[in-house]
Amino acid sequence: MELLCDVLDQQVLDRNERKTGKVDGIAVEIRKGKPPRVAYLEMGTDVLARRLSPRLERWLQRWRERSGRTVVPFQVPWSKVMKVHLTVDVDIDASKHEGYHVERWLAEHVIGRIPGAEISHEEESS
Amino acid sequence: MRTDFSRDRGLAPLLFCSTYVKRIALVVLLAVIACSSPEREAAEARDTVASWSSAGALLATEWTRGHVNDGYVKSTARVAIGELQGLEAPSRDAALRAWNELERAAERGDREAARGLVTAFRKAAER
Amino acid sequence: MKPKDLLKITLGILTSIGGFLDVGAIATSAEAGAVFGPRLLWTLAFSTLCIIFLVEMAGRLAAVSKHTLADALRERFGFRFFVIPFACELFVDLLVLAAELGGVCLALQFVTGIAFRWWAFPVALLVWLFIWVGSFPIVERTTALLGLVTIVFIVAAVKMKPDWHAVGAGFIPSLPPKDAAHYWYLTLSIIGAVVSPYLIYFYSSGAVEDKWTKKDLAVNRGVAALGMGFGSIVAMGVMIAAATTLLPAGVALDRYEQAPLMLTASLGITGLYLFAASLGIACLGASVEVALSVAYLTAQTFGWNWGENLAPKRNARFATVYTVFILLAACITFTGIDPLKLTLFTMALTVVILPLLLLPMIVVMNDKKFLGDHRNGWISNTMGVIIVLVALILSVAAIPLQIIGG
Repeated sequence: MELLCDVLDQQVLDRNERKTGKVDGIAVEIRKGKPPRVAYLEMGTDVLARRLSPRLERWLQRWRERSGRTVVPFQVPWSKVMKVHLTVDVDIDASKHEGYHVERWLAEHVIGRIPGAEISHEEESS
Repeated sequence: MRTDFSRDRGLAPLLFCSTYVKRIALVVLLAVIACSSPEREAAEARDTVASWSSAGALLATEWTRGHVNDGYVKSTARVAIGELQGLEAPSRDAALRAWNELERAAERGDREAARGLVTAFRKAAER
Repeated sequence: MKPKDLLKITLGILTSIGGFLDVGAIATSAEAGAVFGPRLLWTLAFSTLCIIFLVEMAGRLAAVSKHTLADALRERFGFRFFVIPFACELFVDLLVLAAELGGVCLALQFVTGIAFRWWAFPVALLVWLFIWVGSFPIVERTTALLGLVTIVFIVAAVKMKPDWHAVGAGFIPSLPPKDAAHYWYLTLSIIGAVVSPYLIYFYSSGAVEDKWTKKDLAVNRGVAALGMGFGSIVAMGVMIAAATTLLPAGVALDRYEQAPLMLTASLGITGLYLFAASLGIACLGASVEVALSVAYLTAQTFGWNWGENLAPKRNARFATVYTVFILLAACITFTGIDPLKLTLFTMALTVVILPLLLLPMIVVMNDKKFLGDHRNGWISNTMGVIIVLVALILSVAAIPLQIIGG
């Protein structure tokens, strides 16, 4: 398996097959005298901003500090990765994860408050 | 700990390479300045007035025949007047007058009045 | 072929006509017909061929790899590259959606006489409701059935007894008789209107929503070729109708308001209502598709949960994207900006960003990892290279043409 080809930018599915994000970053731990090891996968705006340019990341961080918001990075330890094939399946429940706060907040405070937000058509289509 | 993105090289550097972008922009700008002359603009204004006048003739004819409703004539006349007001051309005033009359006729629902306007529109289109 | 496949193809064809025929296709064809007669038919034919190949590729990618185009592009090229076509697409789609909403509003203006800008928010609400409560099959079938009204353009074009020699000659590329800048600008706009990236993204997401598999590859080919083909014939009908009525009358289609006159001469007041219905329905269907396409693209770029069949609460970010996007586009329409100018400009702009999508798309279509044995054959690749080359040349010429010809 090649980390950059087969893992980076792949779709992440959680335990319930919910699309959780894309592998936006991979953190590798460099250890003295031992081969490097993958520590965790990362998702979210911060790591994407870092990929685009360091300046964008600094700007984002400064904005976060000023607005007094702390954002928990969405990190998935490598030990939780179950399968890597076309998608990256991880053994977490995204809906309960702290890194999933935007989706949760929108679902509870914005989208969930509009009438009809619960209407699902999943059965019809299958 | 640091994330490695050696694969991430894409087209970004090329697109954001400023000297090339600036040079191309300059050439384009010069080309545009060279092509947009006052004569061209005047010719375009003449064409647009002629086209709106022809449209007026067609619309008035269709209205007298009952092929379009009053609301459509009214709203189209308003748009035409708005467009014509911004143009500079010899026959603009004649076209504008005819459109204004068509709008008033549409407000009254007076189809007979439109019959007489067809000739006025045709004349404005010719000039 | 099984009867079920036949039904699938029929449905797909009808949907594709709806997807093909939007404010862009109607506006560019009508204006080209009014100014240059049937002379630009070749552009319509050529761009239809292009979109058939591209849509077939997007459907094949989805059926074989279960990846939508956006998924595959981000995976293959990484975020740092994909963010550029993504951002460009978002911007262009905003203008396209504003133009489509404008098309629906204009249809209402023709019928009621109330200026189109006042319809912007009611129409936006309607589009949003459609997506909010509808499921993917509902959206698909409604636009498909209602889209049948657009056939009126073919009927009208034939009924007007056009000069068939000139029509035939229109399929052979020719140099402009006058006003070269405007001619090439319209060529550009027609290509942009027909080869619309939102349609390609939408189609690939739709194939995943419908859970296509390798068994559907034949259906995919049929839908792509016949659906786009029929859509194109309707657009040709618009061009011919405009060429036989507006051109001799000296109406150069300065604004959309002049366009219904192309049908009233032969069909009377019914013509006005049919024109309004065709424009309104085609643009309503397209508005739904553009808004969904943007939500699909954004969700797939960032890996969010997505699906028109899911309850909005289950994919809150996806639902937020189309909600906000429709609202923004309605604001643009509400400013009262001329929908025809906006359309022509946006369609030309589409061509500028086209190579950014097409080049990587052709690469993905040759990638064994995604497509295995179903990679592009030599015909698709040759066509792909031609499309990319044409798009590259046109995109360089586009900016000066935008300013001189528009």
